[in-house]
Amino acid sequence: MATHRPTSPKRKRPTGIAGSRLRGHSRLGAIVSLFRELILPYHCRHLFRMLLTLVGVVIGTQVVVAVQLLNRSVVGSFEATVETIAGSADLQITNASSGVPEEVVDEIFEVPGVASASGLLQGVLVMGDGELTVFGVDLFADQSVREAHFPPESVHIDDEFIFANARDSIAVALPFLAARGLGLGDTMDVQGPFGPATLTVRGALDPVGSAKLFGGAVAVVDLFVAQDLFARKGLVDQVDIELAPGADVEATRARIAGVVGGRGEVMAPRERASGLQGMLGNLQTFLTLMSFQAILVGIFLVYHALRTAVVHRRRDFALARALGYRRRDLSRAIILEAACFGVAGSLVGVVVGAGLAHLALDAVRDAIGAIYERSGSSVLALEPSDVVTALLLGTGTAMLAALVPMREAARVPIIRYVRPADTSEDATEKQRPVALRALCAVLVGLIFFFVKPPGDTPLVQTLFISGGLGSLAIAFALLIPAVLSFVLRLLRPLVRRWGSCELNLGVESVARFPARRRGTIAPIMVAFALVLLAGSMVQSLRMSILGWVDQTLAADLYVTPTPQLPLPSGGTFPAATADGLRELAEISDIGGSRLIYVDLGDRSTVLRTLDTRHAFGRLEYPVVASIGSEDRDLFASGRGVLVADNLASRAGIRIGDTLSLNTPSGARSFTVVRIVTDFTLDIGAITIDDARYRELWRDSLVNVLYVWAEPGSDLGDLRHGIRGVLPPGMPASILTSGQFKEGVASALDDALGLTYAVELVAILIAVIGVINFFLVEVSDRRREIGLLRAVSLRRSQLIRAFLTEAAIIGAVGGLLAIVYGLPISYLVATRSTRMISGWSLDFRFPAEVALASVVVACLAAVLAALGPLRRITRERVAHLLTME
Amino acid sequence: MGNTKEMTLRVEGLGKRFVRGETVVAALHGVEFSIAEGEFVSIMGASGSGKSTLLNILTGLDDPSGGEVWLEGRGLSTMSDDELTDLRRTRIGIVFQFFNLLPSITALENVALPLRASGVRRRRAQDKARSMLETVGLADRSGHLPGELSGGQMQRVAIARALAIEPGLLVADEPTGNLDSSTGGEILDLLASIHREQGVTILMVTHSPAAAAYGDRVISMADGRVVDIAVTNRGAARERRTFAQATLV
Repeated sequence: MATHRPTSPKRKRPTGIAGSRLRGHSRLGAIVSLFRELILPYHCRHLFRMLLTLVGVVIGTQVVVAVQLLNRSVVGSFEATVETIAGSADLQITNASSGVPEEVVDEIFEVPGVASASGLLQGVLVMGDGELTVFGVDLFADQSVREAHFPPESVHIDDEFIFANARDSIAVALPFLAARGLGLGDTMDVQGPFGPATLTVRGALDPVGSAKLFGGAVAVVDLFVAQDLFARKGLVDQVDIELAPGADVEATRARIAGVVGGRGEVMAPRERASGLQGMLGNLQTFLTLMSFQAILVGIFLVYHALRTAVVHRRRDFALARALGYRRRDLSRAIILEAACFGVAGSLVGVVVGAGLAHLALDAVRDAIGAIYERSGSSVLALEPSDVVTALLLGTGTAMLAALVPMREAARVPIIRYVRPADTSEDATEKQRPVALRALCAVLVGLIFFFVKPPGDTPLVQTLFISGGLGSLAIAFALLIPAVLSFVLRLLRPLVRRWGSCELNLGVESVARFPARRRGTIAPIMVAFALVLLAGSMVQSLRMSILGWVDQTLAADLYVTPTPQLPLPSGGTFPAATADGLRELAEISDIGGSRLIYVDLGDRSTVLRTLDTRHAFGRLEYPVVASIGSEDRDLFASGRGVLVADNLASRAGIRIGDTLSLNTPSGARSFTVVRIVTDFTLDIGAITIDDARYRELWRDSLVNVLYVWAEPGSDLGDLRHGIRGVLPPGMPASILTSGQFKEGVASALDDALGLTYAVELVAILIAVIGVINFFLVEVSDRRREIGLLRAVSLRRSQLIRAFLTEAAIIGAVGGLLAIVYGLPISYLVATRSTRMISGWSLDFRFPAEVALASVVVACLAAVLAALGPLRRITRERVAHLLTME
Repeated sequence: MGNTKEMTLRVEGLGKRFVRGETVVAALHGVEFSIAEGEFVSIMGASGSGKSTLLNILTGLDDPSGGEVWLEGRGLSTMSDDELTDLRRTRIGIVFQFFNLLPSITALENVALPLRASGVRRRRAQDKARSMLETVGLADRSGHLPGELSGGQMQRVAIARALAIEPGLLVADEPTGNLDSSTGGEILDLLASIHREQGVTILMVTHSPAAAAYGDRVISMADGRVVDIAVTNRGAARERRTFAQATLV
């Protein structure tokens, strides 16, 4: 036999039909052919499984799309409202809800470049069947700036002289009048901050311009009437300015700012709208974070679905490799497969998400209106950017989820799968060392939680928190086979000794291939961990806030105009109401608090008033830091303020810092004398002495009255007494301390209700994962099932054996949910909440929810497995034993 | 098939060891032989003799522990994974014992698959596949799924698939092992006729002496070693024919 070795091995060019095509070919044809002849037919044969995978993408993206649409709709609604009310104004002077002195209007008329200026006051009157937004405008002033706001041809006033001179005139939008059967000359009974009033309809507005806002519940009164109705003597909410043609906007703006001084901010209407949006930042972060959680579970589901599809097709892939497809052809075909799932799922997700947003729009807008600021009508408009975002997110996450399956597909050992003797999948399943990879994932996760993100936009914050949650989820998912093996090591001796045949079969089946269960257990683990995270957040928030309420709100009774909690956007009383109540003998002390929005630099926050003796006595907030013993004196003098710790944390405010606030009396500086724990609102709060506030802000309203009863007084009698003293017809809600706290708890539950909805979506995705797993499992194990049936195992026994497997998977998923859920709950409650809201929460883990999670995860897995099992066990044994 | 003339296969000192836990199993020891272009060689041996391992190494599906396989003058051990894949796609047609057809696509698409792997356009690949199915006598079954074909028909489809790339070497791994004797005979006749008419070099692994006799030479293996290389009657007759033709010329 010749054994010569060629001295210079030459490489021959491939020849033949295949070789001729190979030269210089891009391989695109090979990938398309793999996709068309290997991947597509597989999914066509397993339509239900394909749909389940698709649902994983759809569910994830639809939540994101819905949240994106809602966010934009609410923000757009603010913008539209501000711009509509601004009319043709080039600039506006505003001062949050503090108000601008009306004399500013006359002063800026003198500024070169100003063509027209007009003050506007806005308020809400309550009628028996709803609210009416009322604009107060100066009917005797130049109204050219209002022409776009209320076009002259759409305002119908019979006698302008009578309208302007009678103190009860009102012009109301026609749809509002028509709906209530009112006409010109009719009277309307309304409720304002100063109690009931009767107005006469002397004009009508066509539903155009501002009269279209707020569902058409809009009216116009003379500015002086509005100031009376809303107790804003000498103030307007905004001054709208039209510039002379050719005037330099920036130069004129600077000149106006010089005239206004610290009595307001000069800005373009659009800038003001973005300031209002800033208030919603936390809410947007919260909603976006929730939607990303659905994506996170979706990634695991798609990963699992693609991986099982790869496992299922290993023989096909091995054959393709044996026939000449390269590794990267397979990799790219798998990525293409994932991208197709991503694109299809995203597009469906866009449609479903738009529907979901449509259903939730009114509820979200009302919730925002109740807490922050009312806006006009909201319109949902799907934009190309929504579709692009959904496509990028859905396709990106699907492709990300496909990375591991892709690698596995490319590494399929050819010999093992093209030989019949070696077709027992996973016969030599390897337990790769994962501890190091898990450790790396943990470290990455911790970096996300402990490193300050570059920016505080909702998206950046969401990405950081989601990155942390995702990395830790990967770390724990890597450990699943080891945990499963450990659990089975404990379980097997017991089952062997006391368990039935089917119980043993189930346990042995799981024990054979623990790594194969990772993809099923991971979504269960993540979904239930997210439930625990939500539960932990709710409990931590409840405990922290209610604990704070217990500590700080120590009055016996709380008197508010409406049953809602006192907030800047809520109802008000005249401050003088307290004077009337003081006459009641059962009252030992009474105090009031006014809450308004103010601008602190570029952020909005709440300004709250308290008497010094209450702020440093009965209503003292827990002190985080203090300037020292002179804090009370500084506060009482009106030079010092208390700052909420969440505001201090986010705005970088320290003790002794000076804060500048615009007031109707001009800009004023205040020293921070205390940083206090304050859960009033996520945007923080500044507390100022009540008397000083009244002096600077020219405001005579309160949002809430605190009443302390004489020892031994009957609170029921006192409530009746208070009601008797209040002006007739004035709506008032008189709550005991307990009822007030219940109101806080209920408002919290309402605000966090959305969290549970998203967690339910996460569980749904996990259940789909289990169904998918068992669909694949029973399909892969047809012969085994047939064999077991052939050796006389009953159908019910077989089902029990598989259900045992499902129960183990569910239980281990539930247990790992606790192991994973505990650290992420702690990190989110202590780190992420501080990053988003500035609040430091007392961590609480919902142990009872954790235990329930294990049971529910177990039940969910068992129920999800039932369908596929029933179907397979109904097949004839001979059919099951037949090869493909 | 003009390109078959260039084909030579040479195996030098080939060894293969498997490690199973602490046990080292030697599947091949110093295997050496060569195959000339246009030959039909059978490798025969009992189960566990190492013939399947040898076939895996010859087709680039597995690496040897020692020795070298020379194909067209180039050692397989010097080739990258992509080069080995390209080699299988363009020069080596493989026929498996259990057919290994993709169940979800038709016979025609299965035959066209390796051509599509090379990026040959669908239409051209299917034209070629149709002609290959005609060669193996299955033109009327081209639109059927593998599940709708008999064992013999599936193996014919597998042979057509191996031939579609116009290979230099056709490797058949126990092609009759999963068929009854009558159908198996038909498959062997088909391989012999392809060899005779198209001059394709064929290397067939079998445990059956009757099947092995279809080759020109039989390489017998036992315990991972080549124990005998014998010329069959068919091979001797072929040699005589070739000699006579050469003398006449």
